[in-house]
Amino acid sequence: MATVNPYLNFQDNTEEAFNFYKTVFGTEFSTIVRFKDSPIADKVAEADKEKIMHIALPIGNGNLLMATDMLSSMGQELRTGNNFSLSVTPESEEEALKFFNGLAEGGTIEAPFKKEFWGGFFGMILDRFGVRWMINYQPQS
Amino acid sequence: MTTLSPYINFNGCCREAMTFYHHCLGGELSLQTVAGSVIEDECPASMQDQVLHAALLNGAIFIMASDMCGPGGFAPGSAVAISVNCSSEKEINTLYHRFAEGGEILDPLKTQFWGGMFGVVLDKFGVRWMFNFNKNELN
Repeated sequence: MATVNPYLNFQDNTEEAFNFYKTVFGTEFSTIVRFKDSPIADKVAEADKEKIMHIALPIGNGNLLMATDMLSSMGQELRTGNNFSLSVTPESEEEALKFFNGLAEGGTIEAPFKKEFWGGFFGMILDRFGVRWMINYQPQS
Repeated sequence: MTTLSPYINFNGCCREAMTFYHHCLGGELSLQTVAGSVIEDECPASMQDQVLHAALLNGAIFIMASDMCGPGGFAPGSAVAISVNCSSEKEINTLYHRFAEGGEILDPLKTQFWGGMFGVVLDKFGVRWMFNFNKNELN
């Protein structure tokens, strides 16, 4: 059976963003491949060789947050939009707050983390790398 | 267990898109329109049929979506794609071709340098799907 995970694109700063996400989620990268170590190493500008071709950060027990660098030198330009958010469902209210406060550092709180009409806790952040996160915690009744 | 899921915003075609994804992925689809929700009275007639919240669940697959967007309006970006990790060659072939219906193939499905099968599709609703199946992981 297939699984689905979000895959992010950053304009040259994947590593900085993922070092930040690593501290928020408290896990270690399961994969990190730089362009210099890939089969297209020769085609990549010298300044981009250390950039990230593929990186994966495990979240929870089964999900992976993955990303790649868009390379300006290869004409790849990121289009920033609002058509996607990443929804995180933590295990506890405490963990939800930890993720919310962590992701909010240097970012913008779009919806404060609080109890909503449907009985769950919810908060939304546009982080400092332009990624929108929804933190959803549903207490067991 | 902590989980991470994509939440997609559409510009009025959420129902159509999620119905298509339901056709592609199977599972159970739930759709909540503005009409019948707590924000019904705050929204104009033109928004009543729009989807406030949709969820597609099939096993470990969980995708959510909405037609609601922020005050600035809808702005499609290229920062996020959805990666589909398949469990067999048959499954990757089936899913890749279903999602490509009416869409655009950005990277044809084939075996890549790392030994896995991989392909990328921009579906007819503008969402990018990456399909991969790593045969080596089965060993």
